[in-house]
Amino acid sequence: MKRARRAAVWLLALVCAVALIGWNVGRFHGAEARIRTKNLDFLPSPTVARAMALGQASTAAKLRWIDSFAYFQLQLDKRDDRVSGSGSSGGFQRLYDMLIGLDPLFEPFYEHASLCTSGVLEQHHLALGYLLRGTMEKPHSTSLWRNAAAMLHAQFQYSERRPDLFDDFLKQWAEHELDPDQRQAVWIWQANLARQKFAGLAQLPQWFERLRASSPRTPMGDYIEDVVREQLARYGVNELQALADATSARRLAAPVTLGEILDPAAIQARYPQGVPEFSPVVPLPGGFATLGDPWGYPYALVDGKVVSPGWERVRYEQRLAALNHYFETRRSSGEEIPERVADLPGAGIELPPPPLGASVRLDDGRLVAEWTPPPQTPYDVRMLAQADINEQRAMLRAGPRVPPR
Amino acid sequence: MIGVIAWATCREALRSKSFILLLVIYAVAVLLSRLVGWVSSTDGHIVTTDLVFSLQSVIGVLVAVATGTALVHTEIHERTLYTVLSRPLPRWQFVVGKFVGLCLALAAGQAAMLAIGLAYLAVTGASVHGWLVLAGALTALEVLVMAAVSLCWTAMSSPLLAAVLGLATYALGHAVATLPSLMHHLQGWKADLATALASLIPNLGQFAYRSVAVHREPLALAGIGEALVYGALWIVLLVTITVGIFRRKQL
Amino acid sequence: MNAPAGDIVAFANVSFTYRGDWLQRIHALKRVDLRVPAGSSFGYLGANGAGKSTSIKLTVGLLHGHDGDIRLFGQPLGDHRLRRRIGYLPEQPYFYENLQVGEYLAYLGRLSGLSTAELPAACDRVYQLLDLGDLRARKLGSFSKGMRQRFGLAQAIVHRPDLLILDEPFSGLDPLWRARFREVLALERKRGATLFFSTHILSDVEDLCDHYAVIDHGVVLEQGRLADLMGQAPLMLTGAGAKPAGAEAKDDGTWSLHFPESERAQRLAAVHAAGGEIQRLERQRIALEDWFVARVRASHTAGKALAGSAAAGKGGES
Repeated sequence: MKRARRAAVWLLALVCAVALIGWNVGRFHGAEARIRTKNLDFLPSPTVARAMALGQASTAAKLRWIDSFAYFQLQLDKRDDRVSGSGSSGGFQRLYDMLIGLDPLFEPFYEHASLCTSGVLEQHHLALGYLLRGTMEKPHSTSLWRNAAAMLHAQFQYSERRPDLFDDFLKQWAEHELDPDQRQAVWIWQANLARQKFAGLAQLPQWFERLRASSPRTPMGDYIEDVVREQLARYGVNELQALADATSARRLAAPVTLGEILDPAAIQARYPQGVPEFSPVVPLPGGFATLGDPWGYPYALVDGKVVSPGWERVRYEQRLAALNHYFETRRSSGEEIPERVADLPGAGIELPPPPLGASVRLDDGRLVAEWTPPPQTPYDVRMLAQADINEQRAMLRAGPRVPPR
Repeated sequence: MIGVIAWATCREALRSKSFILLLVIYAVAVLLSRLVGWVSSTDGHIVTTDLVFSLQSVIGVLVAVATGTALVHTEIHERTLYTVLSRPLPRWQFVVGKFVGLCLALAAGQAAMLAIGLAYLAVTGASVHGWLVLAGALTALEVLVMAAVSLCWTAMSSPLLAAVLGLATYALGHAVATLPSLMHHLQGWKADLATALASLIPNLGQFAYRSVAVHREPLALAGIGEALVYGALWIVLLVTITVGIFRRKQL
Repeated sequence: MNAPAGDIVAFANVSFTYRGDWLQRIHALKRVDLRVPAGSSFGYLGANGAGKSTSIKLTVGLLHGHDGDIRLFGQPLGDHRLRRRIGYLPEQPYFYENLQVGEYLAYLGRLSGLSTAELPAACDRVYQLLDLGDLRARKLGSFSKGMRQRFGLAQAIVHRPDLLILDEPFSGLDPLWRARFREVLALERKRGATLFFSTHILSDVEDLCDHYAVIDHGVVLEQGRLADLMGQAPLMLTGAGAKPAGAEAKDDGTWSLHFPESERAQRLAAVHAAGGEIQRLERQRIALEDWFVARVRASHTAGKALAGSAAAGKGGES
């Protein structure tokens, strides 16, 4: 009897444990990946933050930094850098000043501060300031010197406007390198930079630097990958559009398919030195073909205009994110949001028409777009960033391509 | 006699369930710290190393405050010291012996934490170097100073109040480390008062070399020497005050 | 070690006051005079809160700051080395839970001044006396109340002290171990130790003590030899024939007469003179518990009467 009672108690405990663990696991199973966005709520001065960190300043800085990724996500949509409550601007600046104050030796703070202020807000002078501050705190950091040099070159055109000062800067960088090989690498870097002067891709080397410094499958890493894809897509669209315009001028009629614009003579005229490495046009035996866009969708020609469907998709997602943010603001002030997409115009909300092959639905008060999956594999931009120029060229040309039609 | 009491105290502390449990909690937290490293977008090993060393400091201080405040009070409350102090033993030897025993136990705990933390970092591929060991040793010294602080508070008040005061001292001890850079906000007698008050509190920033060591930056050896002397002086002062109070205590 | 002649513990006009809550002051001992003769077994009797433990704590140095003079082995308190000769068992003793019996005994033995060479033999002696040999590897946290008491006595006698101070030594013991404790204490006494123990179990006093003191509300009401106290018990004379005045007649034709020791000769002479036959003369046994209760109550009554008369006096003055 006693044994049976004891067994019953253990059984009850087991059942409860299984139920509770199952309950918890259920929260993870089938959960939709939702990007966390939030505002910055507490940004004391670096000195006060250090006093409040109870001796764990560097750890507190890392935890606050990880938490602030959500603000980065929010700013990708809003891009106003306004902190809630006070409404004052300069959220990134205050955040990174605090973080650097707590742990001035952590390189990623300088790199991310530069990314947020330059990449998101396009305040390049602030970004350069963070990188230079980083080189003072960590004078032997190759990554910070290289990022600063790339920014001087890409955003401030120092290599062209003030080559003497740019050379001085590179000399300083070389002097701070401890390893002779690394010292030599400064000048190799400069030589590579000179070769990478593609029209419309001036900032690509800098973004490659940032990509190399970031980790895959993280908010920052994903963001930088998307920026690289956008730059490649913009360049691809521009190049194809130039070829389409040339075809149109030659035929006196707009081309209807991309196959029509891949005329060898026109391509030879556009690229007398040979097809550049990041061009969407690739030579084939007996002709040319186009690559897919960086997201794996084939470039398309719509009413004479070249379109990158992947890029269109990214831009549409950004508009939906801004609308969702607007919905949340309205909801927090007590206003109701329609439950069906069809009711949105009645509520005074204009939904931009979805790109070809996409549909939009309202799910739990949030606009969600559904896309046809890309027919090709998206570019592995991380591998592109790691490769040298010849490898980059080979990688792109070995990828999927669209034969002329 | 001090050695006899210290050895018994150390053995008793090392075998106590709470001590072993906190070590286990530390080990589990260290294992989980890698998760935070993964979540960070870059340099996850530095984030993990930072967390591992913070855990050593925070859990070490919690153990020091908990055991330091319970040390004398439990002896009185449980009357275990009746059979000790009725023997030919001056009270100062009892206090010093208990504190030395506590220090031995805490040092053993800190050494175990450091070994676990460094082994875990090495296994996960993070950089492990001598500066980290030195920074860990300075964290252990900070923990010993906190044990002396807690012992002193418990001689003056109840254990709960002593624990609160101990943790407050820890917070203030780190706050005063940054106080000099805030002093420009104060002038005249306010600045003098703030300086005077801050001077009465142990500056625990003197032992915080963790954030430098995790970046593989060399530590200033002169600063480490200063920290050793500074910590030793605080320990001597606080234990002396405790002895003075305990000698007058009615049991 | 041999106990010295004279008083081992001597309190002369000792008062002790401690602080209660806030500004309240509690007078735990009031002008106490107490003498524990060398080689004696001294029972210190008193109700809960009477002042027994305070006296003992002052003796072993756990409390200090008393008025009056306390001498230990003829010397004033203050030199901690005097405690080398004391063995102390506190009331309901507690010990570190995670130390083993062997470790703890060695620890306390070392604190009492035993050298590492002397320890094994000293520990073996008490293991044998208190049957702790098989438990030496057990942690004290797993001990029952009675087992803790056994260890408490072991640690008190491990260094063969001249004075054994035991605060309620028999509490928590079953009858078998009560008897064993008595045997151990008898052996300690035989060795030359003086026993000074507090209790409110009066049968223990009758069995073990030759001296006693009664304390109530911080005042020692009475102290002396137990034999003298017992000698104050009335006599009972049983006789036949002529019945003296005040005698009680029995059914078998005999009678009995109760009178104090001081009237012995006079009463016997009176029976002879009346032609009575003396069959038996015996001393009645004092019920120590009844005596103790009566003694303490008498003290309370006297105290109240004194307070009443003082109040009346004050009222008359006003």
